Amino acid sequence: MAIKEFLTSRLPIKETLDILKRKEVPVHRFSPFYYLGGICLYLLMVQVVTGVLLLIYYSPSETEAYQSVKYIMTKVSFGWLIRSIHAWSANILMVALFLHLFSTFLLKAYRPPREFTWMTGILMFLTCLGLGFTGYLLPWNQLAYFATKVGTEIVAAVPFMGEVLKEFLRGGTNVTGVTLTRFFALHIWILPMMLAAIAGLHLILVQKHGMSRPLLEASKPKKSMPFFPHFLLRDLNVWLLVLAVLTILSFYFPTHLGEPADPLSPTPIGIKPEWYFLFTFQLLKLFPAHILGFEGEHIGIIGLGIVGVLVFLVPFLDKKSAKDERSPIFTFVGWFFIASIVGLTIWGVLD
Amino acid sequence: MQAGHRKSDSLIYKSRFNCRNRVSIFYVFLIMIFVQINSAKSQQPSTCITCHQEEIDEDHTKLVGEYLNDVHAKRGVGCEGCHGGDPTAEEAEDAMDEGAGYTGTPARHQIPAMCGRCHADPNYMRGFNPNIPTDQYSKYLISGHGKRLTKNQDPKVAVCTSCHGTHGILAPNDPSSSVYSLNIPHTCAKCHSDSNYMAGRNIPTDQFEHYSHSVHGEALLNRDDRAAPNCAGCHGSHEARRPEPSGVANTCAQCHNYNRELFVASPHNAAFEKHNYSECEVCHGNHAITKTSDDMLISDSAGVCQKCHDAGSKGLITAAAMKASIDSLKMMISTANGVVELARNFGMSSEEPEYQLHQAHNKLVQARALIHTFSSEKVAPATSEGIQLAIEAKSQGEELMNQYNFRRRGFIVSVMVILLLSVLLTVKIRSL
Repeated sequence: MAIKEFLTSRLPIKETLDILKRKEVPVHRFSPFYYLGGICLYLLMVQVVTGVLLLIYYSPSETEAYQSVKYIMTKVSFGWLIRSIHAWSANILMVALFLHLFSTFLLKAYRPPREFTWMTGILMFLTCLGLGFTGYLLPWNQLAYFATKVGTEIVAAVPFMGEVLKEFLRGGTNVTGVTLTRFFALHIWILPMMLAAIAGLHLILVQKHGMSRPLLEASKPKKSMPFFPHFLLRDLNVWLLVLAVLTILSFYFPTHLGEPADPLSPTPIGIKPEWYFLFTFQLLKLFPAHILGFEGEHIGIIGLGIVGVLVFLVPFLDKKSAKDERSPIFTFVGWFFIASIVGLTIWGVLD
Repeated sequence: MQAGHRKSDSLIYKSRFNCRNRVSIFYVFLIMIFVQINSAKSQQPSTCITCHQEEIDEDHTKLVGEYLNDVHAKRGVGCEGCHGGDPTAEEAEDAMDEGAGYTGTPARHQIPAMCGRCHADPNYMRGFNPNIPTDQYSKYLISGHGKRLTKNQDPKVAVCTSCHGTHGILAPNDPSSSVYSLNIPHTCAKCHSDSNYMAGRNIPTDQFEHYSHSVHGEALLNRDDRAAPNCAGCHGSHEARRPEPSGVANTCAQCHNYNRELFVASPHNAAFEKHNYSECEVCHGNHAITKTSDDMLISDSAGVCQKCHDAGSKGLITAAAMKASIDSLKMMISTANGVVELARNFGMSSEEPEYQLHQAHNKLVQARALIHTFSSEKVAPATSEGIQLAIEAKSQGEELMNQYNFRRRGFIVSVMVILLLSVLLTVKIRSL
């Protein structure tokens, strides 16, 4: 009791708890989707903690990267577990981000005044994709090396500045030790700092505007629960279950290291990017070599870019939702995106 | 006046030039006609080919077809190279006139010398390939085949065409050639496995049968391993003959040099020389060499030492000691391998113990080679080192399994704790 008094008299604990107790979370049949944001936040924290632990032993150089990861996995106490959790939580984070993004889209949670919450969310999603892409190369094994080679090759298809972008990413004409060091810098410093800033803004906006009640529930009686402790405890419970899933996956399917990267060896047959890039990879393959005299790949990249911008600006395009009216066209677009991404990803895996 | 001089000089010069020029052009014209005639003559198809291809019978047509794929035909050596005659003559009588050097089909005993006319002439052969050997004929003369041909006048003994063919000779590095390394055993077997053909020669005819089941034959014939020895690998090709007993080790040493060095330094070398034993062949056999086994040291079925050494003799005691030493290393490797494999199957990183096991296996190979010292004291250090390496691998494998069991316990405990916390939280949530 003395400690509680000591702390409450010095820190704004009571004031904070009062705010949290006053904060209400809507209760309806879509409420479970509210946990997705918390899962993303939790997995990001897992990523930071395990990433920092891996950094203690990881050496970002062409000659030492592979050996240092091998050392982590074989000699460092619980090194295998930390690396496995880092890799698995990255994958689950991508799943959670996709689900969070699409549930927000379909429930039209981007409606005013939450336009910037949506936009910061999209920026976070893109930053996480960048983190996944840059982190994949760091073990410097065969799969990582050639997947990065293929991935950075796609960047070259960006019209006008593709080659410059590719060389900028690679630090030269090919994937080398220079690429590894700049990917390392991006992965542990530049992108996390960006993510922290955007995530901070996102969380402030979520606190300011609260949880959005779906249009589908507008006509029903409004029920809610206090954020503290009711929703927070439920959130914690979900985090515990995610931790259990992470533990099971890391034990039964530990991440393997594979063979060290050999730039002189031929590209392994059927090399593919990570699953969360597979739909774009597969989509670009569908474009013919030339469309109306233009490079098919250039058209594909431009198309993807335009779609990206439209998705980013969707709160301003969906006029009906903004007026709290149903907008079936955007619902259809949302389901169309989901079906396309799932279909293309499955096709890419089986292809 | 000067100008008139110059003009007349110029005219004289012109007329001289024209005259000289005309003569030169005439000579050039003549040379061209001569070259054209000769060129046309040399480009004329050989009348041997035209006649024998179409106008005689099917056998000749086939023969010409083979010849057109022959290495000689491709290098511009015509029929006249072996048969003489004039391939430019229009009439058969002129083409195959003795006056034109026609010799007809060479007799079997004439073939080696006939081929040797070109193939033993370095000056001639370097025109085709500066590195081509030209000692085939001289080697043939000292070979078992050559001696039987020249001294015994054996009409059936192999001559050049027996192995290389006649009109369809291919380069030895052509996989279709009868003397391509993978085809040599079949080529030799054509005669040497034919008991009727070999009758009266006091040579067995089961060599190919034995060879095809041997470790060498299995590698060459079944796995297309060109590094494995064929008949020529041990007997030689043009100089082929039966190895002398004292030369067997040298023959085998072409590949198994380390074993030969150990054998020569061993007490067996002097004893074998004294009794004129065929060195390696005594224990391993010749054409039927099978994969060696440690049971060859001492066992009822495969033991070879007991063929010469009596029970209880120093030789058999040494053999038993060597086998015991090797068996203990094998057993240790097998035990360690079981532990390491188990750890690997559970997803543990087993590279280190696998490397130790690899080293232990190298020691086993070394110990097996050291059997050729016929000294258990010399085999023992290799097996001891191997056992030590296998023990290290085993203990590393056990450590991996300990780690795995620790992980499994940790996994179960942590999942239980997480689920318990979740249940407690659920109870708390429901109580709110």
